Amino acid sequence: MKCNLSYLQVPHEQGMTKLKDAMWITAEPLYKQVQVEFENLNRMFMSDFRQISPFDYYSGIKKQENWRNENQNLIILDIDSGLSIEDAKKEFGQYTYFMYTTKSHQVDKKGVTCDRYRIVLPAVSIPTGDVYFEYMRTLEAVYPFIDTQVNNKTGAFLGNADGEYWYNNGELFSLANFRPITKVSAPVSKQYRQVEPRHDLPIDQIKQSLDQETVSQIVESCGFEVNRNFKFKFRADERTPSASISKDGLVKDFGSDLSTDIIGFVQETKGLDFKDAVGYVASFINISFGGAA
Amino acid sequence: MINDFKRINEIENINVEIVGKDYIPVHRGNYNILSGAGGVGKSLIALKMLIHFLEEKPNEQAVAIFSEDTRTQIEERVASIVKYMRITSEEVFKRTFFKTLDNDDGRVFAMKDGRNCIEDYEYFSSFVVNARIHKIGFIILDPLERFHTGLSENDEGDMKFLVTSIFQRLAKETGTAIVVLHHTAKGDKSGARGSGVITNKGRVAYNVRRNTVTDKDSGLEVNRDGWETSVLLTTIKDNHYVSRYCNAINLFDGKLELPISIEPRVVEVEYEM
Repeated sequence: MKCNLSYLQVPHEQGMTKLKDAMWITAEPLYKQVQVEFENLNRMFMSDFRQISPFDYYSGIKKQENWRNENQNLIILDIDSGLSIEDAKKEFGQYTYFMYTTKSHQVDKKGVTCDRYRIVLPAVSIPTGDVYFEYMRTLEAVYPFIDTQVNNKTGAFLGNADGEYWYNNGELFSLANFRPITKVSAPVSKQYRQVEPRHDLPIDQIKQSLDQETVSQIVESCGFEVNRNFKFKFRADERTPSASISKDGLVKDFGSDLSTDIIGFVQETKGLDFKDAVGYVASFINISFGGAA
Repeated sequence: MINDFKRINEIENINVEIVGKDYIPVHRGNYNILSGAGGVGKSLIALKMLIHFLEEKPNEQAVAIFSEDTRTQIEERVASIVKYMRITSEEVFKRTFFKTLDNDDGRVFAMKDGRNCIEDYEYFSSFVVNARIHKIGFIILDPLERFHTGLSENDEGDMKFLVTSIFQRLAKETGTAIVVLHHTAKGDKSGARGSGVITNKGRVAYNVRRNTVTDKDSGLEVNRDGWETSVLLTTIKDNHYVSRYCNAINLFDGKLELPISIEPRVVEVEYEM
Protein backbone atom coordinates (compact mmCIF):
# COMPACT_ATOMS: atom_id res chain seq x y z
CA MET A 1 0.00 0.00 0.00
CA LYS A 2 1.46 3.33 -1.07
CA CYS A 3 0.99 6.33 1.22
CA ASN A 4 0.98 9.84 -0.26
CA LEU A 5 2.65 12.58 1.72
CA SER A 6 4.86 15.64 1.44
CA TYR A 7 7.97 16.27 3.45
CA LEU A 8 10.51 18.95 4.07
CA GLN A 9 14.07 17.68 4.33
CA VAL A 10 16.71 19.81 5.95
CA PRO A 11 20.17 19.30 4.44
CA HIS A 12 22.42 17.58 6.91
CA GLU A 13 25.43 19.56 5.78
CA GLN A 14 23.96 22.67 7.34
CA GLY A 15 24.84 21.06 10.62
CA MET A 16 21.64 22.05 12.33
CA THR A 17 20.61 19.99 15.28
CA LYS A 18 16.94 20.86 15.03
CA LEU A 19 14.67 21.20 12.07
CA LYS A 20 13.09 24.29 13.60
CA ASP A 21 16.52 26.03 13.63
CA ALA A 22 17.29 24.96 10.11
CA MET A 23 14.01 26.31 8.74
CA TRP A 24 15.02 29.83 9.69
CA ILE A 25 18.03 29.79 7.43
CA THR A 26 16.52 27.89 4.51
CA ALA A 27 15.53 30.51 1.98
CA GLU A 28 12.82 28.51 0.27
CA PRO A 29 11.89 25.40 2.21
CA LEU A 30 10.30 23.18 -0.41
CA TYR A 31 8.02 20.26 0.34
CA LYS A 32 8.45 17.22 -1.86
CA GLN A 33 5.57 14.94 -2.75
CA VAL A 34 6.37 11.27 -2.36
CA GLN A 35 4.77 7.88 -2.19
CA VAL A 36 6.00 5.68 0.60
CA GLU A 37 5.12 2.05 1.13
CA PHE A 38 3.15 1.68 4.37
CA GLU A 39 5.76 -0.74 5.72
CA ASN A 40 8.44 1.95 5.24
CA LEU A 41 6.67 4.79 7.06
CA ASN A 42 9.08 4.40 9.96
CA ARG A 43 11.94 5.34 7.63
CA MET A 44 10.12 8.55 6.78
CA PHE A 45 8.95 9.53 10.26
CA MET A 46 11.87 8.39 12.41
CA SER A 47 14.12 11.31 11.50
CA ASP A 48 14.88 14.59 13.25
CA PHE A 49 15.41 16.32 9.92
CA ARG A 50 11.98 15.95 8.39
CA GLN A 51 8.71 17.73 8.68
CA ILE A 52 5.88 15.67 7.20
CA SER A 53 2.44 16.57 5.95
CA PRO A 54 -0.36 14.37 4.59
CA PHE A 55 -1.18 17.13 2.07
CA ASP A 56 0.38 18.47 -1.16
CA TYR A 57 1.55 22.05 -1.57
CA TYR A 58 1.60 23.72 -4.94
CA SER A 59 5.19 24.72 -5.82
CA GLY A 60 6.32 22.91 -2.68
CA ILE A 61 5.74 25.97 -0.53
CA LYS A 62 3.65 25.34 2.56
CA LYS A 63 1.04 28.06 2.49
CA GLN A 64 -2.72 27.99 2.90
CA GLU A 65 -3.31 29.04 -0.70
CA ASN A 66 -0.99 26.28 -1.99
CA TRP A 67 -2.80 23.54 -0.07
CA ARG A 68 -4.14 20.52 -2.00
CA ASN A 69 -5.50 17.19 -0.79
CA GLU A 70 -6.67 15.43 -3.95
CA ASN A 71 -4.09 12.68 -3.36
CA GLN A 72 -4.41 12.46 0.39
CA ASN A 73 -4.71 8.94 1.74
CA LEU A 74 -3.33 9.40 5.26
CA ILE A 75 -4.82 10.90 8.39
CA ILE A 76 -2.29 11.91 11.05
CA LEU A 77 -3.54 12.31 14.62
CA ASP A 78 -1.38 14.12 17.17
CA ILE A 79 -2.05 13.02 20.74
CA ASP A 80 -0.47 15.02 23.54
CA SER A 81 -2.54 13.91 26.51
CA GLY A 82 -5.74 12.16 27.47
CA LEU A 83 -5.05 8.73 25.99
CA SER A 84 -2.17 6.40 26.79
CA ILE A 85 -0.43 4.49 24.03
CA GLU A 86 -1.86 1.22 25.35
CA ASP A 87 -5.40 2.63 25.26
CA ALA A 88 -4.81 4.04 21.78
CA LYS A 89 -3.81 0.58 20.57
CA LYS A 90 -7.20 -0.70 21.80
CA GLU A 91 -9.16 2.30 20.49
CA PHE A 92 -7.66 2.03 17.00
CA GLY A 93 -6.99 -1.71 17.11
CA GLN A 94 -9.37 -2.49 14.27
CA TYR A 95 -7.50 -0.21 11.85
CA THR A 96 -4.24 -0.31 9.96
CA TYR A 97 -1.92 2.25 11.52
CA PHE A 98 1.65 3.35 12.13
CA MET A 99 2.24 4.94 15.52
CA TYR A 100 5.35 6.71 16.81
CA THR A 101 6.32 8.64 19.91
CA THR A 102 7.25 12.31 19.61
CA LYS A 103 10.15 14.23 21.14
CA SER A 104 7.97 15.25 24.08
CA HIS A 105 6.87 11.70 24.93
CA GLN A 106 7.10 11.21 28.69
CA VAL A 107 8.77 14.62 29.03
CA ASP A 108 7.56 17.16 31.56
CA LYS A 109 5.55 19.89 29.80
CA LYS A 110 3.85 22.45 31.99
CA GLY A 111 3.98 19.96 34.85
CA VAL A 112 2.42 17.12 32.85
CA THR A 113 4.38 14.01 31.92
CA CYS A 114 2.47 11.57 29.73
CA ASP A 115 2.46 9.57 26.52
CA ARG A 116 2.80 11.86 23.48
CA TYR A 117 2.63 10.27 20.08
CA ARG A 118 1.15 10.31 16.62
CA ILE A 119 -1.06 7.83 14.83
CA VAL A 120 -0.74 7.66 11.06
CA LEU A 121 -3.84 6.04 9.58
CA PRO A 122 -4.08 5.05 5.92
CA ALA A 123 -7.61 6.12 5.11
CA VAL A 124 -10.31 5.95 2.48
CA SER A 125 -13.22 8.23 1.56
CA ILE A 126 -11.26 11.39 2.30
CA PRO A 127 -13.20 14.33 0.87
CA THR A 128 -11.24 16.81 -1.19
CA GLY A 129 -11.20 20.54 -0.58
CA ASP A 130 -12.18 22.54 2.46
CA VAL A 131 -14.99 20.15 3.40
CA TYR A 132 -12.21 17.81 4.60
CA PHE A 133 -11.80 19.99 7.69
CA GLU A 134 -15.51 19.69 8.50
CA TYR A 135 -14.99 15.94 8.70
CA MET A 136 -11.95 16.55 10.91
CA ARG A 137 -14.08 18.65 13.30
CA THR A 138 -16.38 15.63 13.78
CA LEU A 139 -13.34 13.45 14.33
CA GLU A 140 -12.07 15.88 16.97
CA ALA A 141 -15.44 15.79 18.75
CA VAL A 142 -15.43 12.00 18.80
CA TYR A 143 -11.76 11.75 19.83
CA PRO A 144 -11.35 14.71 22.21
CA PHE A 145 -7.78 13.70 23.02
CA ILE A 146 -6.55 14.80 19.58
CA ASP A 147 -4.49 17.98 19.39
CA THR A 148 -6.71 20.18 17.22
CA GLN A 149 -4.14 22.90 16.57
CA VAL A 150 -2.35 20.95 13.85
CA ASN A 151 -5.51 19.98 11.95
CA ASN A 152 -5.31 22.83 9.50
CA LYS A 153 -3.96 23.46 6.01
CA THR A 154 -0.40 24.16 7.11
CA GLY A 155 -0.22 21.69 9.95
CA ALA A 156 2.82 19.42 9.63
CA PHE A 157 4.50 16.91 11.89
CA LEU A 158 8.10 16.66 13.02
CA GLY A 159 9.81 13.32 12.85
CA ASN A 160 11.65 11.76 15.77
CA ALA A 161 14.80 9.70 15.28
CA ASP A 162 14.83 8.44 18.85
CA GLY A 163 11.18 7.49 19.14
CA GLU A 164 9.52 4.11 19.47
CA TYR A 165 7.15 2.96 16.79
CA TRP A 166 4.51 0.31 16.17
CA TYR A 167 2.60 -1.03 13.19
CA ASN A 168 -0.86 -2.54 13.18
CA ASN A 169 -2.75 -4.27 10.42
CA GLY A 170 -6.51 -4.08 10.20
CA GLU A 171 -9.15 -2.43 8.06
CA LEU A 172 -8.63 0.97 6.48
CA PHE A 173 -9.92 3.95 8.43
CA SER A 174 -12.93 5.45 6.64
CA LEU A 175 -13.44 9.17 7.00
CA ALA A 176 -16.94 8.76 5.56
CA ASN A 177 -18.13 7.73 9.02
CA PHE A 178 -17.10 11.18 10.27
CA ARG A 179 -19.18 13.19 7.81
CA PRO A 180 -20.26 16.41 9.49
CA ILE A 181 -22.88 16.11 12.19
CA THR A 182 -25.06 19.16 12.55
CA LYS A 183 -24.79 21.00 15.82
CA VAL A 184 -27.85 22.15 17.67
CA SER A 185 -27.93 25.93 17.30
CA ALA A 186 -27.27 27.75 20.54
CA PRO A 187 -30.46 28.90 22.25
CA VAL A 188 -31.12 32.61 22.55
CA SER A 189 -30.73 33.89 26.05
CA LYS A 190 -30.59 37.28 27.64
CA GLN A 191 -28.38 36.00 30.42
CA TYR A 192 -25.19 37.69 29.16
CA ARG A 193 -24.69 41.05 27.59
CA GLN A 194 -22.05 42.60 25.41
CA VAL A 195 -19.93 45.29 27.03
CA GLU A 196 -20.68 48.72 25.68
CA PRO A 197 -17.65 50.94 24.94
CA ARG A 198 -16.93 53.46 27.69
CA HIS A 199 -14.52 56.09 26.46
CA ASP A 200 -13.78 57.66 29.82
CA LEU A 201 -11.83 54.52 30.70
CA PRO A 202 -8.63 53.33 28.97
CA ILE A 203 -10.50 50.49 27.25
CA ASP A 204 -8.66 50.70 23.95
CA GLN A 205 -5.29 50.79 25.68
CA ILE A 206 -6.23 47.77 27.79
CA LYS A 207 -7.56 45.78 24.84
CA GLN A 208 -4.43 46.45 22.80
CA SER A 209 -2.28 45.16 25.64
CA LEU A 210 -4.19 41.92 26.05
CA ASP A 211 -3.03 38.72 24.44
CA GLN A 212 -4.34 35.18 24.68
CA GLU A 213 -1.89 34.31 27.48
CA THR A 214 -2.85 37.32 29.62
CA VAL A 215 -6.56 36.66 29.14
CA SER A 216 -5.87 33.08 30.15
CA GLN A 217 -4.25 34.30 33.41
CA ILE A 218 -7.23 36.51 34.16
CA VAL A 219 -9.67 33.66 33.52
CA GLU A 220 -7.62 31.47 35.87
CA SER A 221 -7.72 34.20 38.50
CA CYS A 222 -11.51 33.97 38.31
CA GLY A 223 -11.32 30.35 39.43
CA PHE A 224 -11.19 28.45 36.15
CA GLU A 225 -8.50 26.04 35.02
CA VAL A 226 -7.34 26.88 31.50
CA ASN A 227 -5.54 24.14 29.57
CA ARG A 228 -2.73 24.64 27.12
CA ASN A 229 -5.18 24.88 24.22
CA PHE A 230 -6.78 27.82 26.02
CA LYS A 231 -9.93 25.88 26.77
CA PHE A 232 -11.60 25.60 30.14
CA LYS A 233 -14.66 24.13 31.86
CA PHE A 234 -17.16 26.91 32.38
CA ARG A 235 -19.58 24.72 34.35
CA ALA A 236 -18.64 22.35 37.15
CA ASP A 237 -20.45 19.35 35.65
CA GLU A 238 -18.64 19.42 32.32
CA ARG A 239 -16.67 16.40 31.19
CA THR A 240 -14.71 18.28 28.56
CA PRO A 241 -14.01 21.99 28.38
CA SER A 242 -16.71 23.85 26.48
CA ALA A 243 -15.30 27.35 26.77
CA SER A 244 -12.30 28.74 24.96
CA ILE A 245 -10.22 31.87 24.63
CA SER A 246 -9.72 33.05 21.07
CA LYS A 247 -6.47 34.49 19.73
CA ASP A 248 -7.92 37.99 20.00
CA GLY A 249 -8.80 37.40 23.64
CA LEU A 250 -12.55 36.84 23.36
CA VAL A 251 -14.11 34.27 25.67
CA LYS A 252 -16.71 31.95 24.19
CA ASP A 253 -18.62 29.10 25.79
CA PHE A 254 -20.12 26.67 23.30
CA GLY A 255 -22.48 25.22 25.88
CA SER A 256 -24.31 28.53 26.33
CA ASP A 257 -24.49 31.83 24.52
CA LEU A 258 -21.60 33.35 26.46
CA SER A 259 -19.43 35.26 24.04
CA THR A 260 -17.76 38.29 25.50
CA ASP A 261 -14.47 40.06 26.01
CA ILE A 262 -12.50 39.55 29.20
CA ILE A 263 -14.04 42.60 30.88
CA GLY A 264 -17.54 41.20 30.40
CA PHE A 265 -16.31 37.82 31.58
CA VAL A 266 -14.89 39.31 34.80
CA GLN A 267 -18.18 41.17 35.34
CA GLU A 268 -20.18 37.96 35.03
CA THR A 269 -17.97 35.67 37.05
CA LYS A 270 -16.79 38.03 39.81
CA GLY A 271 -20.01 40.03 40.03
CA LEU A 272 -18.19 43.35 39.54
CA ASP A 273 -19.62 46.45 37.90
CA PHE A 274 -18.08 47.63 34.64
CA LYS A 275 -15.61 50.10 36.13
CA ASP A 276 -14.29 47.65 38.72
CA ALA A 277 -14.01 44.93 36.07
CA VAL A 278 -11.91 47.25 33.90
CA GLY A 279 -9.72 48.01 36.90
CA TYR A 280 -9.36 44.30 37.66
CA VAL A 281 -8.28 43.53 34.10
CA ALA A 282 -5.98 46.58 34.00
CA SER A 283 -4.14 45.35 37.09
CA PHE A 284 -2.87 42.35 35.08
CA ILE A 285 -1.19 44.53 32.47
CA ASN A 286 0.14 47.26 34.74
CA ILE A 287 -2.18 49.97 33.50
CA SER A 288 -3.47 52.20 36.23
CA PHE A 289 -6.23 54.74 36.23
CA GLY A 290 -8.45 56.47 38.76
CA GLY A 291 -10.87 53.64 39.25
CA ALA A 292 -8.36 50.78 39.12
CA ALA A 293 -8.92 48.06 41.69
CA MET B 1 -38.63 36.78 -6.06
CA ILE B 2 -38.29 33.37 -4.46
CA ASN B 3 -40.66 30.92 -6.05
CA ASP B 4 -40.93 27.70 -4.09
CA PHE B 5 -44.42 26.80 -5.25
CA LYS B 6 -44.18 23.28 -6.69
CA ARG B 7 -46.54 21.18 -8.77
CA ILE B 8 -46.90 17.62 -7.50
CA ASN B 9 -44.81 16.20 -10.35
CA GLU B 10 -41.95 18.57 -9.49
CA ILE B 11 -41.55 17.23 -5.99
CA GLU B 12 -38.88 14.62 -5.40
CA ASN B 13 -40.30 11.62 -3.64
CA ILE B 14 -38.56 10.79 -0.38
CA ASN B 15 -38.38 7.08 -0.11
CA VAL B 16 -39.80 5.92 3.19
CA GLU B 17 -38.23 2.68 4.33
CA ILE B 18 -40.21 0.57 6.70
CA VAL B 19 -38.56 -2.16 8.72
CA GLY B 20 -40.12 -4.90 10.82
CA LYS B 21 -42.86 -5.68 8.36
CA ASP B 22 -43.16 -9.23 9.64
CA TYR B 23 -43.85 -8.09 13.19
CA ILE B 24 -44.40 -4.48 14.27
CA PRO B 25 -43.34 -2.06 11.52
CA VAL B 26 -41.51 1.23 12.11
CA HIS B 27 -39.90 3.92 9.98
CA ARG B 28 -36.22 3.89 9.22
CA GLY B 29 -34.37 7.22 9.45
CA ASN B 30 -36.86 8.47 11.95
CA TYR B 31 -37.97 8.34 15.55
CA ASN B 32 -40.71 5.92 16.58
CA ILE B 33 -42.23 5.55 20.00
CA LEU B 34 -43.60 2.65 21.98
CA SER B 35 -45.38 3.76 25.12
CA GLY B 36 -47.05 1.88 27.92
CA ALA B 37 -47.28 1.54 31.66
CA GLY B 38 -44.32 0.17 33.57
CA GLY B 39 -44.24 -3.62 33.63
CA VAL B 40 -46.66 -4.11 30.74
CA GLY B 41 -44.02 -5.66 28.48
CA LYS B 42 -42.67 -2.82 26.29
CA SER B 43 -39.07 -3.98 26.55
CA LEU B 44 -40.02 -7.49 25.47
CA ILE B 45 -41.89 -6.22 22.44
CA ALA B 46 -39.02 -3.87 21.55
CA LEU B 47 -36.50 -6.70 21.89
CA LYS B 48 -38.58 -8.85 19.59
CA MET B 49 -38.79 -5.97 17.09
CA LEU B 50 -35.00 -5.77 17.18
CA ILE B 51 -34.60 -9.51 16.62
CA HIS B 52 -37.02 -9.40 13.68
CA PHE B 53 -34.95 -6.55 12.24
CA LEU B 54 -31.76 -8.63 12.51
CA GLU B 55 -33.47 -11.48 10.73
CA GLU B 56 -34.76 -9.12 8.03
CA LYS B 57 -31.40 -7.36 7.50
CA PRO B 58 -28.67 -9.99 7.79
CA ASN B 59 -25.86 -7.53 6.98
CA GLU B 60 -26.76 -4.97 9.60
CA GLN B 61 -26.41 -4.67 13.36
CA ALA B 62 -28.38 -3.12 16.20
CA VAL B 63 -27.98 -1.23 19.46
CA ALA B 64 -30.19 -1.79 22.48
CA ILE B 65 -30.00 0.36 25.58
CA PHE B 66 -32.19 -1.28 28.19
CA SER B 67 -31.33 0.70 31.27
CA GLU B 68 -33.98 -0.98 33.44
CA ASP B 69 -33.10 -4.61 32.66
CA THR B 70 -30.17 -6.80 33.59
CA ARG B 71 -27.97 -8.79 31.26
CA THR B 72 -29.44 -12.04 32.59
CA GLN B 73 -33.00 -10.88 31.92
CA ILE B 74 -32.11 -9.97 28.37
CA GLU B 75 -30.34 -13.28 27.76
CA GLU B 76 -33.41 -15.16 28.99
CA ARG B 77 -35.76 -13.10 26.86
CA VAL B 78 -33.69 -13.51 23.73
CA ALA B 79 -33.55 -17.28 24.27
CA SER B 80 -37.34 -17.32 24.64
CA ILE B 81 -37.99 -15.22 21.55
CA VAL B 82 -35.66 -17.01 19.14
CA LYS B 83 -37.30 -20.37 19.86
CA TYR B 84 -39.92 -19.42 17.29
CA MET B 85 -37.55 -17.86 14.76
CA ARG B 86 -34.82 -18.84 12.34
CA ILE B 87 -32.19 -16.61 13.97
CA THR B 88 -30.17 -17.97 16.90
CA SER B 89 -29.36 -16.36 20.25
CA GLU B 90 -25.68 -16.41 19.32
CA GLU B 91 -26.32 -14.39 16.21
CA VAL B 92 -28.48 -11.88 18.08
CA PHE B 93 -25.72 -11.33 20.64
CA LYS B 94 -23.04 -11.17 17.96
CA ARG B 95 -24.87 -8.49 15.99
CA THR B 96 -26.26 -6.38 18.82
CA PHE B 97 -24.50 -3.93 21.11
CA PHE B 98 -26.20 -3.82 24.50
CA LYS B 99 -26.17 -1.43 27.37
CA THR B 100 -27.98 -2.86 30.38
CA LEU B 101 -28.46 -2.05 34.03
CA ASP B 102 -25.11 -3.79 34.56
CA ASN B 103 -23.01 -1.51 32.34
CA ASP B 104 -25.05 1.67 32.00
CA ASP B 105 -22.79 4.70 32.45
CA GLY B 106 -25.76 7.09 32.71
CA ARG B 107 -24.42 9.46 30.07
CA VAL B 108 -27.21 11.51 28.53
CA PHE B 109 -27.74 13.29 25.20
CA ALA B 110 -29.53 16.36 26.53
CA MET B 111 -29.45 18.40 29.70
CA LYS B 112 -30.59 21.69 31.13
CA ASP B 113 -28.28 24.67 31.52
CA GLY B 114 -30.25 27.33 33.29
CA ARG B 115 -33.36 27.75 31.20
CA ASN B 116 -31.75 26.34 28.06
CA CYS B 117 -31.65 22.79 26.78
CA ILE B 118 -28.18 21.80 25.60
CA GLU B 119 -26.72 18.65 24.13
CA ASP B 120 -23.60 16.66 24.98
CA TYR B 121 -22.15 17.02 21.48
CA GLU B 122 -19.18 14.77 22.21
CA TYR B 123 -21.46 11.91 23.30
CA PHE B 124 -23.91 12.49 20.47
CA SER B 125 -21.15 12.57 17.83
CA SER B 126 -19.51 9.46 19.23
CA PHE B 127 -22.84 7.65 19.17
CA VAL B 128 -23.47 8.66 15.56
CA VAL B 129 -19.98 7.75 14.36
CA ASN B 130 -20.04 4.40 16.16
CA ALA B 131 -23.43 3.66 14.60
CA ARG B 132 -22.00 4.43 11.16
CA ILE B 133 -18.84 2.37 11.74
CA HIS B 134 -20.75 -0.68 12.97
CA LYS B 135 -23.49 -0.48 10.30
CA ILE B 136 -26.24 -0.08 12.85
CA GLY B 137 -29.76 -0.13 11.43
CA PHE B 138 -31.95 -0.37 14.52
CA ILE B 139 -31.67 1.36 17.90
CA ILE B 140 -33.75 0.84 21.03
CA LEU B 141 -33.62 3.56 23.67
CA ASP B 142 -35.36 2.41 26.85
CA PRO B 143 -36.75 4.46 28.51
CA LEU B 144 -36.96 8.04 27.22
CA GLU B 145 -36.08 9.65 30.56
CA ARG B 146 -32.76 7.79 30.61
CA PHE B 147 -31.45 10.02 27.80
CA HIS B 148 -31.88 13.46 29.34
CA THR B 149 -31.36 15.09 32.68
CA GLY B 150 -33.22 18.08 34.00
CA LEU B 151 -35.66 18.42 31.11
CA SER B 152 -39.34 18.48 31.97
CA GLU B 153 -41.47 15.87 30.20
CA ASN B 154 -44.45 18.17 30.56
CA ASP B 155 -42.70 21.12 28.93
CA GLU B 156 -43.36 21.34 25.21
CA GLY B 157 -40.11 23.23 24.51
CA ASP B 158 -37.97 20.77 26.45
CA MET B 159 -39.53 17.74 24.80
CA LYS B 160 -39.35 19.35 21.37
CA PHE B 161 -35.61 19.74 21.91
CA LEU B 162 -35.20 16.13 23.02
CA VAL B 163 -37.34 14.66 20.27
CA THR B 164 -36.33 16.79 17.28
CA SER B 165 -32.78 17.88 18.15
CA ILE B 166 -31.72 14.56 19.62
CA PHE B 167 -33.87 11.58 18.60
CA GLN B 168 -34.92 12.66 15.10
CA ARG B 169 -31.46 14.04 14.38
CA LEU B 170 -29.86 10.82 15.64
CA ALA B 171 -32.10 8.80 13.32
CA LYS B 172 -31.28 11.01 10.33
CA GLU B 173 -27.53 11.13 10.97
CA THR B 174 -27.33 7.36 11.36
CA GLY B 175 -30.06 6.27 8.95
CA THR B 176 -31.45 3.95 11.60
CA ALA B 177 -34.90 3.13 12.89
CA ILE B 178 -35.04 4.44 16.43
CA VAL B 179 -37.58 3.05 18.85
CA VAL B 180 -37.90 5.02 22.06
CA LEU B 181 -39.75 3.42 24.95
CA HIS B 182 -41.74 5.68 27.21
CA HIS B 183 -43.83 5.16 30.31
CA THR B 184 -47.43 6.09 30.70
CA ALA B 185 -49.08 6.45 34.05
CA LYS B 186 -50.43 3.14 35.32
CA GLY B 187 -53.78 2.39 33.75
CA ASP B 188 -53.52 5.31 31.32
CA LYS B 189 -55.00 4.47 27.95
CA SER B 190 -54.49 7.83 26.33
CA GLY B 191 -50.94 7.44 25.08
CA ALA B 192 -47.51 8.56 26.25
CA ARG B 193 -46.92 10.46 29.48
CA GLY B 194 -45.97 14.13 29.36
CA SER B 195 -46.07 16.62 26.54
CA GLY B 196 -47.97 15.69 23.39
CA VAL B 197 -44.80 16.44 21.43
CA ILE B 198 -43.36 13.08 22.50
CA THR B 199 -46.05 11.26 20.56
CA ASN B 200 -46.80 13.79 17.85
CA LYS B 201 -43.22 14.04 16.63
CA GLY B 202 -42.87 10.27 16.35
CA ARG B 203 -43.23 8.87 12.83
CA VAL B 204 -45.11 5.93 14.25
CA ALA B 205 -46.39 5.85 17.82
CA TYR B 206 -47.65 2.68 19.42
CA ASN B 207 -49.19 2.22 22.82
CA VAL B 208 -49.11 -1.05 24.74
CA ARG B 209 -51.54 -1.85 27.51
CA ARG B 210 -52.94 -4.85 29.29
CA ASN B 211 -55.88 -6.48 27.59
CA THR B 212 -58.54 -5.85 30.21
CA VAL B 213 -62.26 -5.17 30.49
CA THR B 214 -64.28 -3.54 33.26
CA ASP B 215 -66.01 -6.07 35.48
CA LYS B 216 -69.69 -5.17 35.61
CA ASP B 217 -70.13 -6.27 39.22
CA SER B 218 -67.03 -4.86 40.83
CA GLY B 219 -66.20 -2.03 38.41
CA LEU B 220 -62.56 -3.14 38.43
CA GLU B 221 -60.35 -3.69 35.39
CA VAL B 222 -59.91 -7.43 34.93
CA ASN B 223 -58.24 -9.54 32.26
CA ARG B 224 -60.45 -10.41 29.36
CA ASP B 225 -61.44 -14.05 29.41
CA GLY B 226 -58.92 -16.10 27.50
CA TRP B 227 -56.52 -13.17 27.18
CA GLU B 228 -54.92 -13.31 30.62
CA THR B 229 -51.39 -13.05 29.26
CA SER B 230 -52.08 -10.62 26.46
CA VAL B 231 -51.31 -7.00 25.76
CA LEU B 232 -53.12 -4.66 23.43
CA LEU B 233 -51.04 -2.77 20.89
CA THR B 234 -52.65 0.40 19.60
CA THR B 235 -51.45 2.80 16.94
CA ILE B 236 -51.61 6.35 18.31
CA LYS B 237 -49.99 7.93 15.29
CA ASP B 238 -49.26 6.40 11.94
CA ASN B 239 -49.16 8.98 9.15
CA HIS B 240 -47.91 6.59 6.50
CA TYR B 241 -50.19 3.78 7.58
CA VAL B 242 -47.26 1.43 8.14
CA SER B 243 -49.23 -0.64 10.61
CA ARG B 244 -51.01 -2.21 7.63
CA TYR B 245 -47.91 -4.36 7.37
CA CYS B 246 -48.23 -5.55 10.93
CA ASN B 247 -48.15 -9.31 10.99
CA ALA B 248 -50.93 -9.49 13.52
CA ILE B 249 -53.38 -7.81 11.15
CA ASN B 250 -52.41 -9.81 8.12
CA LEU B 251 -52.80 -13.14 9.76
CA PHE B 252 -55.70 -12.95 12.10
CA ASP B 253 -57.93 -9.98 11.65
CA GLY B 254 -56.24 -7.98 14.36
CA LYS B 255 -55.84 -10.81 16.80
CA LEU B 256 -52.88 -13.12 16.80
CA GLU B 257 -51.13 -15.16 19.38
CA LEU B 258 -47.52 -14.07 19.34
CA PRO B 259 -45.13 -15.70 21.76
CA ILE B 260 -43.25 -12.57 22.71
CA SER B 261 -42.16 -13.38 26.21
CA ILE B 262 -41.20 -16.16 28.50
CA GLU B 263 -44.87 -16.36 29.38
CA PRO B 264 -46.39 -16.15 25.92
CA ARG B 265 -48.56 -13.10 25.54
CA VAL B 266 -51.11 -12.25 22.92
CA VAL B 267 -50.86 -9.10 20.90
CA GLU B 268 -53.99 -7.54 19.55
CA VAL B 269 -53.65 -4.59 17.23
CA GLU B 270 -56.31 -1.93 17.06
CA TYR B 271 -56.54 0.92 14.62
CA GLU B 272 -57.26 4.48 15.54
CA MET B 273 -57.24 6.10 12.12
